[in-house]
Amino acid sequence: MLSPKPSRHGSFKRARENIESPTCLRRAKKPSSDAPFRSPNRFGSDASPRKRGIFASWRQSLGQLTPLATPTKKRPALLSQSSFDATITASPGDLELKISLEKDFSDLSLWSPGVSPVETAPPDFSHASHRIFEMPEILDRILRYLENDSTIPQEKARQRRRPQSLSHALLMYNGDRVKAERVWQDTLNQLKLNQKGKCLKDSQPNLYNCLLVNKLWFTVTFRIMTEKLFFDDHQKFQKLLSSFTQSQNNFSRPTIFVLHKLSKLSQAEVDAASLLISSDNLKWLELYICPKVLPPLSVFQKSSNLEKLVLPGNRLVTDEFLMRITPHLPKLKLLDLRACDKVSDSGVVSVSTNCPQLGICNLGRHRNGHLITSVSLVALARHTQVETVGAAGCEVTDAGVWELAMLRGPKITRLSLNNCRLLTNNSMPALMSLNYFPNISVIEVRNIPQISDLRPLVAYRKYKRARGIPILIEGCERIELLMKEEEWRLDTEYNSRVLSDLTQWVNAETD
Amino acid sequence: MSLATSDTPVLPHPTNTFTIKVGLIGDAQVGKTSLMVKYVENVFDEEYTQTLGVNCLDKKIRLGSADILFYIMDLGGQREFINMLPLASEGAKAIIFLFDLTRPETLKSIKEWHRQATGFNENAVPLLVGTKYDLFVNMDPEYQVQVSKQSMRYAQVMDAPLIFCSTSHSINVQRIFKIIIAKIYNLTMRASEIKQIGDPLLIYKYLGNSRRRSPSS
Repeated sequence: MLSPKPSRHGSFKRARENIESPTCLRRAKKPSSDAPFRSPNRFGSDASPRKRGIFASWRQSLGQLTPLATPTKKRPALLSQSSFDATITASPGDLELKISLEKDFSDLSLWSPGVSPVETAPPDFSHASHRIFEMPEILDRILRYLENDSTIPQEKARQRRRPQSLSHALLMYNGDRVKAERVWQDTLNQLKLNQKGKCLKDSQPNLYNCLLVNKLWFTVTFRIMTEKLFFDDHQKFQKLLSSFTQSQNNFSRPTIFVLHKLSKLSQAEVDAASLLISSDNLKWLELYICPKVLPPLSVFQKSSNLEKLVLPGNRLVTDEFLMRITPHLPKLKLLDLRACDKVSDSGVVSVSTNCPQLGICNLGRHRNGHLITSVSLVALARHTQVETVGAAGCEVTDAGVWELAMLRGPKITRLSLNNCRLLTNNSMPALMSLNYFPNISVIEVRNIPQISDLRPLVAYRKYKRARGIPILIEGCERIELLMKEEEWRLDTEYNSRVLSDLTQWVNAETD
Repeated sequence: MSLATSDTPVLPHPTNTFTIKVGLIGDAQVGKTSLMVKYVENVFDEEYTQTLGVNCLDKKIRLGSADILFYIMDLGGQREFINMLPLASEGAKAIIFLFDLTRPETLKSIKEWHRQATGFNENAVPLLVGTKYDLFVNMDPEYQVQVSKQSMRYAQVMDAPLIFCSTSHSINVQRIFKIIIAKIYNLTMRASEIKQIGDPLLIYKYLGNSRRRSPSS
């Protein structure tokens, strides 16, 4: 036998197994000496799938010795093609067809370099790619599996916010000193890193190599790649623009358009892209910390299906801009205007009245907090389907939070009120004790100096945890400490209640 | 002035369940299974059914603020089941040693049961329970004095509360489990002791307190 008995699985796996077996390696080193074995009739049209399997695996093992990078030109797939056709036409029943397809597919291989066509007997076969790689529809399906959303530059999803000090970290992680120190150290490092402006996930291998296979692959891959456009590199974006102006036809209309931290980007460049990106396909438009540019108005006029608009850190977004674009965004679900500190209540009111499906709205900021007041909260609560509200650093009042609770209370899942310095015990603590937010799972109440009654929040957290529902309350050091104390007090009270109940039961007359 | 009434959060504290495993150990036919079934289901069956290996039942007591779950394991009294003793004793918060008041030899074998069981679990609260008091009370007074005194000595040595009970007549059955809770959580139990020989003895106040157990609540 040339190689171990092939299984019904793909030859790729087998090939790898073979690499590890020493006999195979030995054979692979001197392919010419084996040439006499491989007489052409071995691979005649009646060749059993098993024999072909052997051959394929042998070829694969050779392939390991020579680089795979050079794509070979497509050749007529003499043997596999004819047998493929034959099985389809000849087989009477579906079952047989299925089996024969399975046999055929078990030998899938993209290309097969290494064997010199002059020396060896069946050179044509070694160059044949499987037929399915020639069908655009199937190729499209296959390549879509390779596509990976994780290549889109995004902020890392965070489990918890960063601690504000080491003692805060200790409180957050229940006195787990090792973990607290590690997290605090990470935080310090992160702050340094952030000044350089990098907090991306490592980029994953992408579809780029598939462009180089052949014309068909290029067309299909290019269409897929241009459906989701994302750039964290200014030069790459410029290249795209120039290629778009040359050949517009190859481009599909993207569903996602993301620019990540392109600080040198000019408005003219974004305007040039407007023709490319504006279409009914566009669902997600993001300019993440691109402070000097605004998405062109024409994009919004032509993209009525936009669901996600993310413009954090943008100094140019104004109320006027929002008023102009929102009438065109009836389907908007997510609006992220963090650190867009020119936006005031009137902009948010315009968003609220025009985007009835809005579910997530983030208005958090460090500057110009006075521009966002309870008016915004009330507008969101009245006119939208808001579930997640970020109002960090805004001057919202207790009345605004109450209105939100009355109108949207059971629907609210996340609420960030960090640094909302006007809030008191009459909003969150009171509302939680009356259970106005029965489904909230993230509450952020850092740096709110007038909140001191944490008992309702702690009781709520206990209640949810006992039911196995995840719940996160982020407080600053002062609030975390108060919560710890309150939790201890609640536990002590509970324990003494249990003990008194037990004593009562023990002394009840029953016998 | 805060709107929230700080004393009463609307959401109740989650109800904890305290699981308390209790092992029943003693010679064959002293009434271990009967006692368990009587306590859990309040049923008494005259007919004898031999326990093969281990029986277990549980009973939940709802206190409002918390639940107690008695998880009662009853070990067959035949010698051949001795190898299952760890099942009934390991992890138990309390072990009830039962003997038959009408058969003094069953009290004698408590010594061996106790030695074996504490080998597996020295932290459990031991209880010494004499069964079939309803038959015992009609026996020769001299015999009653002898057995009572003997069992008191045993209780003293084992540092175990002593209870005479009758499953068929529902005497002191509930009390056994109340004493267990009182001993585990160091609670004050006010029921008066019964020390008069001839009465269903109930001696618990100064017994079973020596072990240093960490209260779980």
